[in-house]
Amino acid sequence: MTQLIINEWQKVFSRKSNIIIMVFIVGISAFFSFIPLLFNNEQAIETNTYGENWQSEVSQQVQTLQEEAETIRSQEGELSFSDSIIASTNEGEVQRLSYHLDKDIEPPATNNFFDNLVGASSLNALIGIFVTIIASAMVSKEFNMGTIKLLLIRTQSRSKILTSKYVTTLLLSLFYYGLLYLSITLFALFTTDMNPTSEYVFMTTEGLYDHTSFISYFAGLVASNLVYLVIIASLAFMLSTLTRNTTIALGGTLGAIFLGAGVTNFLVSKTELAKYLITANWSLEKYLPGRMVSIDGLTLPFSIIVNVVYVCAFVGLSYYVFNKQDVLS
Amino acid sequence: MTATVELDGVGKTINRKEIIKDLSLTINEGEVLGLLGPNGAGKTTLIRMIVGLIDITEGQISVCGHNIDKEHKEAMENVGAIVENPEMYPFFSGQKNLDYFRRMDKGVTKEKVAELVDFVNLTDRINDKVQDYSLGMKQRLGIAQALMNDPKVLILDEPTNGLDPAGMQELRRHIRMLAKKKNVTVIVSSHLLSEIELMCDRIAIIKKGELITVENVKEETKERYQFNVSHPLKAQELMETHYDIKSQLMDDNLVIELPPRLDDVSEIVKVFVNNDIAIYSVEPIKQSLEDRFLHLTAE
Repeated sequence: MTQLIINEWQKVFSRKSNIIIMVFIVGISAFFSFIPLLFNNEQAIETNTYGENWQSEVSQQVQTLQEEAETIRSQEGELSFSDSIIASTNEGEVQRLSYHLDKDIEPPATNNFFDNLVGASSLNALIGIFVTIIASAMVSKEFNMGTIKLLLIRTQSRSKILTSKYVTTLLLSLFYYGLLYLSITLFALFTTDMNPTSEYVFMTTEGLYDHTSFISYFAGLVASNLVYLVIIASLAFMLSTLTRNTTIALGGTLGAIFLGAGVTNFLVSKTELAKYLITANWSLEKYLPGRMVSIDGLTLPFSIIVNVVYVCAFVGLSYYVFNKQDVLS
Repeated sequence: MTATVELDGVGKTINRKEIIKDLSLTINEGEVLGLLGPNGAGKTTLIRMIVGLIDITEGQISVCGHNIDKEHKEAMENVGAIVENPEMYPFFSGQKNLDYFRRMDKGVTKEKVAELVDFVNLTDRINDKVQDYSLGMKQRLGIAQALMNDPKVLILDEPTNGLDPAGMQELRRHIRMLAKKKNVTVIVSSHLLSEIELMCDRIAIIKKGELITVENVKEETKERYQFNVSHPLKAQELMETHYDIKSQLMDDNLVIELPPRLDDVSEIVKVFVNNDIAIYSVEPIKQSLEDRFLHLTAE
């Protein structure tokens, strides 16, 4: 089996699309990390790191911000647009810093390491697309090239061949994700300020502040990202095996990715059964602390069960069809 | 002689269309069998069934005593094949392709691969990418791939495609050598008789999914002669009454099949001359395997 996976891995890495994807991942990570430095100079200087006596520094800052906001608010007549922005930004900052003071957690710099890592998870959608590109070609390409015959007339069973391909797809998803976070972390070490504590303070969807240990928050985020990638990979892999057509597999999966949320929201308004859709469940990020679940009846265990059932169905169907169908190409 | 490939009442139906009908055939160790038939006769379908790429609707196939359906692994341990085209990974070099397949089979050594590369004469180009190979080179790489596990049964689908005359001669030599020295059973398919006639021991002719006939290539065909004589009817009667030889009239020519006991044409000539029948010409009619093939597969 290891030999078969080595073979599959070699094939993927000899493909041009794989090289382009890897370069793209590193490039987009660099872009993501350096862009705040280019456009946010002013603010980055304004709120920098604090010294040992951070409580008094923060209290001082809170007072200044508050006074500034009050002065603006107390002005006669209509507030100018920029003034109102400054006022509300200041009020927001006051709220955040007060929370830090209240819970005795030293506030991080504006452009800090933790926020950078958490923010980078939005790039997971991109990894999902890359995984789709590779997974949709996984089986169908062998049929297109005719090489599937050479694989199946050997002593290896069809199930083993398919397993090696599926495992490779999953490993590759993990690899792309790892590459993303490896480069993000490396770049962030240079472009961001390290957080002073291991606590992570975040704003909830209600606009309040809350905190948790960064490690557990980040672990939850990574887990939900990986679950999403596994589902996307399995879907594309199944379509590739069933249709033996890379274009259909690619189009079908990308369609589910882009239209999934919209269609789900539409169906949710029509029927309660919409919560059983894979597209309603494949993102587990909504269960992270501070996030909101917008669909009634969804809970983390429910979503996990639905996801597991779908992935088993995708993979099971792939094996059934791959073992059964005649190879005529 | 032991049978290596046995087809027993094999049938294949795809979308209610019978592609192969009740086909039985036994192929022996060290034998080279040609599968001959026009395009679309079902040769490739049959080959795909023998290597287990498609399901058998009816009957069964066994290779070296192993049922292809139930003991696929054991059966395939004895088989090396090229099905339809020698498709390899175009983005890999020839060497990388062979290494790829080496990893799929247990117990194939690097030395074995090097030996095969040498055997198919690809040593100079083995590190070039397959996409830059000519069809003939791909064909030879395919043969190297098929021989990797020292198969007892070698199946080559249209192996002469893309080979130049020299390559064809070489392939013929290789196949004869494998069959005679290593006792390998070889099945080659083709739609052109002339290309495989010289390498086969037997030729199975397939038409519309049915096995029409299996012919021994070396089998002596009965000799026939065509006599152009002054009195064909009289000559025919003479042959029948005096010598009990059946003959046919074709365009005023008398066609005689020579029986073993009267195998000398001059004997007949003498009889005609003695009976005042003038002889204008005597011609041997040669019916090659090609003619028979065309005759058998004609609509």
